[in-house]
Amino acid sequence: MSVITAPRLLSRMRRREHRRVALVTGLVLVLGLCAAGLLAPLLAPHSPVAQYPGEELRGYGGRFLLGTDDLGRDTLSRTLYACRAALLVGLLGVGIGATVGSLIGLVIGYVGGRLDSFVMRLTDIGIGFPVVIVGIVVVAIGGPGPQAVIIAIALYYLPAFVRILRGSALQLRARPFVEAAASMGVKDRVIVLRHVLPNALPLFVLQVGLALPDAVLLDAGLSFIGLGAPPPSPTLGDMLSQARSYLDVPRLAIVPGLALCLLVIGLNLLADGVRDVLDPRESSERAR
Amino acid sequence: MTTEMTEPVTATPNAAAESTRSALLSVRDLQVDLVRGESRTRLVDGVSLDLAAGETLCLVGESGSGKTLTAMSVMQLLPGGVEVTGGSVELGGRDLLRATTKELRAVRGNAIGLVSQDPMTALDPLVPVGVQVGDAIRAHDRRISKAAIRARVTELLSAVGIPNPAANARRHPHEFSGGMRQRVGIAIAMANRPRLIIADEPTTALDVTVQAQILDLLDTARRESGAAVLLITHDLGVVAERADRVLVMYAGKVVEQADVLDLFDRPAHAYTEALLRCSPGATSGAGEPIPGTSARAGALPTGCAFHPRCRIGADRPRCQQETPALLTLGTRHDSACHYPAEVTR
Amino acid sequence: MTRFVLGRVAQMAVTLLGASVVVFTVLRLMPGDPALVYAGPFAGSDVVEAVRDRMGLHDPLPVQYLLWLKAFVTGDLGVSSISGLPVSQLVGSALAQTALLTLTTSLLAIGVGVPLGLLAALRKGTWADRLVAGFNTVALGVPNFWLGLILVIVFAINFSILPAGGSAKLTEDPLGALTSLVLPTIALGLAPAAMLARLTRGAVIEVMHEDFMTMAAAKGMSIGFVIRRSLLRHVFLNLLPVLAILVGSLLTGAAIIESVFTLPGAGRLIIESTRQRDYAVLQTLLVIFVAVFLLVTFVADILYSVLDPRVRGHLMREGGVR
Repeated sequence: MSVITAPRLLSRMRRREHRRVALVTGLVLVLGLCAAGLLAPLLAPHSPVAQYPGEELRGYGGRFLLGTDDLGRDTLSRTLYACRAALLVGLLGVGIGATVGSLIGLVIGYVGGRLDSFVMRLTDIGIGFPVVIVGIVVVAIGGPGPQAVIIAIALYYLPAFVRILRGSALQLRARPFVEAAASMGVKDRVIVLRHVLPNALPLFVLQVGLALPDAVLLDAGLSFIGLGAPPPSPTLGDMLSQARSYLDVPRLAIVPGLALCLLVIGLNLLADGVRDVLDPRESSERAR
Repeated sequence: MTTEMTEPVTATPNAAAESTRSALLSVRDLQVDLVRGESRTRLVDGVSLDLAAGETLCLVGESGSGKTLTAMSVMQLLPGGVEVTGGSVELGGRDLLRATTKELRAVRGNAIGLVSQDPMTALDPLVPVGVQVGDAIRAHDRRISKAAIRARVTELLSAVGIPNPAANARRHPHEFSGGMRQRVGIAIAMANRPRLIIADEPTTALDVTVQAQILDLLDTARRESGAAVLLITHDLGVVAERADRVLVMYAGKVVEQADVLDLFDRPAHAYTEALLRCSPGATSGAGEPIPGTSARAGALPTGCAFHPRCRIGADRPRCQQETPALLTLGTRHDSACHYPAEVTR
Repeated sequence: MTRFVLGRVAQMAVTLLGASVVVFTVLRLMPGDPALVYAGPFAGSDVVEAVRDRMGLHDPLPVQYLLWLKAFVTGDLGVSSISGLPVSQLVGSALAQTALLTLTTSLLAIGVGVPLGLLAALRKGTWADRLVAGFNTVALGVPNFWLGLILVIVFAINFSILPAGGSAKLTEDPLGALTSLVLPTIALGLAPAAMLARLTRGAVIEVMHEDFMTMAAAKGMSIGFVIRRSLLRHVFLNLLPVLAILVGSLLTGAAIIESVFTLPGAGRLIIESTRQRDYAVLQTLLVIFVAVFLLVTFVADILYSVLDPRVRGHLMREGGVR
């Protein structure tokens, strides 16, 4: 409270620096892993599904940089392909759930009334409902595979997005420019698309960003318990599940696990960065 | 009950104090900055004031003039990023700016009581009002018994005019009207018989009908306890009725200070004159608004900060270029106007 | 107040009923014939038909549902079509296991997360804040099942100081049951702890901006005094709505963690009974999960209205809903 001191000034500068470092780290991690995933066919030294007889459970180095698994498949190649699958499933799952949920939210928030309270009741049950159960039911109906995981993730995030965008639509509906448009006889559909939707967009992007790392974790978790893509095609969860049978070979658990961690941490840092950009006020207060 | 804290006020000789009376509170050349990274914006610039026991000093000015920050600097309860960067604040001869956190805590709520601006938000909605009054006592006397606190709380609430105090002490803030909440606020401020009461626009959030009651209550509290009152207001009507001395602030600086009658009879700063003219209730003001908008900290005009809005100095190069100093005009009357003689009632 | 509580209970009952309809219908959509599974691969078609008849699979769906509902309400949960054990027994012991794990995990998450969040908020912008932020980022990035694997590799295999799992019953071998919970609790609780730390930090900072906090400082209250008197109450109220979501995520995590540590819990039972098309078990478990979830939301709601005198007063006057 007294006279400002040099160390204090320094710590301020460092704090800002620190936030930027977080964003850049997130970007590098995510972009790096995205690129690695996208370019997996080029980067991967081997086929992710090819089995090399006689090369089972190799250690680090040599022909197989990160070793091989119990069937003699190259861990590095499998991890690269698995990262790609994880990002794809996460993006699709969140994307579908967020889009559908947001549209429902915008509509019920704008229309209000009975429909609104009925749908809100449904989301009361849906929000936070154990996603494993959703996943299990989906898999039980349609069989295991990436589609099942995508649908499970989409269903999981749907109610949350209904609520968030409904709240935003409610707020926006009361804003003068929306009221003015309505009083001039502009059609509801047009108001929602032209005024409400664009104004809710930053919030949408922010929430997608926040959901993505969790979605990748969910994907891994669901594949881990055997709901994901069926065997030969590699997923991080499946690789980890396999590693359970070879706990005396920690490498099998460490490599895909670390890749998953880096992916999720990178996505988290990126989401924080996005929040900084979209909502600077919030970020300094609540973001950590 | 907190006698160990209320040591007798020792008057300290203060070279800068022009007052011959012993000052209880003496602020010298106070500077308050908003610090954001490396950029600093001066919010309060070189404010000095003296306040004697039993006296009421009014801080007057538009919002953003730095009057609240000046008062809160005394308690050192400033919002985040705002810091006192210079000057001294002495209470009973002790420099509060050099006090440790622990020493400050012993002063807050004890030697200094605060009555806040908005009684709606200053009370914790989750805690019964009696407990909130009692906390002010317990904060300075760990060993006091619950029964003693309860007795004192009842006494305090009844002193500020809360009916049925023992029962009402158990109620929560939302069950009270604004006026009643502010009475509770005064009870909190008076809990440890403070030597200084800081009241930050204590009536702006209240109905007009209750405002006078609350100010009367503050006056009574001051008279009975002999405390000094630092009253922040923008209402010149309040100033005329309650103040002994007045300090007019504009853009973070003191532009005029005087005894209350002197100020109303012979204002010596164009800003004071404008304030008097725009305040309908106060005296013979006609309710003329002051033209233009209040100067913003960080984007102050050169020269006299008031000159763009000034009846006298808007076109005078001296007012535009030269920052006027706060000069003594007569007994206990200072003004920072280049042309005090041209100011009229 | 009573009317409010009764209203919420009624609402909850209706929601639960709706959920049971959904669960029932969805389960019937699943491919695979439970009668076929039950009768075994070598049974003749007449045997399968008889089983189907006994299981009531010939009745129209609404009738099946009402029969099931009647049995469920009267406490008759049926028998597992796989093991032949009463569903109540299977589900009961599994739920007890999961409840225990959820409890220890919640304790860990609250015990670690809230103090960390408090520390970060009170020391905002310092190295302590940054350290907590770093912990949060990492803890939220590490998948619980992977952490579980690593913990097993390190503590159960390399050092052999803690069991990698187990099925010791709390009533028979309390020490064994508790030590077998140590690793799963850590694995499952780390991410919720980080989430709570973040939420707590945000809530504390928000409350710190309130006028009454400045007033408390102006009264000369010490920071500890203010935390106890005001801050924690407000932070708790702020966090209450998140409670249900937290429990939901714990249940999700429990299902996965239970299979890593081979704990005989409800999550694992769900997965297994899905694989085996064990309708009776699955149906009961799902309905109970929904009920637990609704109950947590309900308790949070009631707590909220009890703890906030403004809502409480409002309810007493209106006797209505928020």
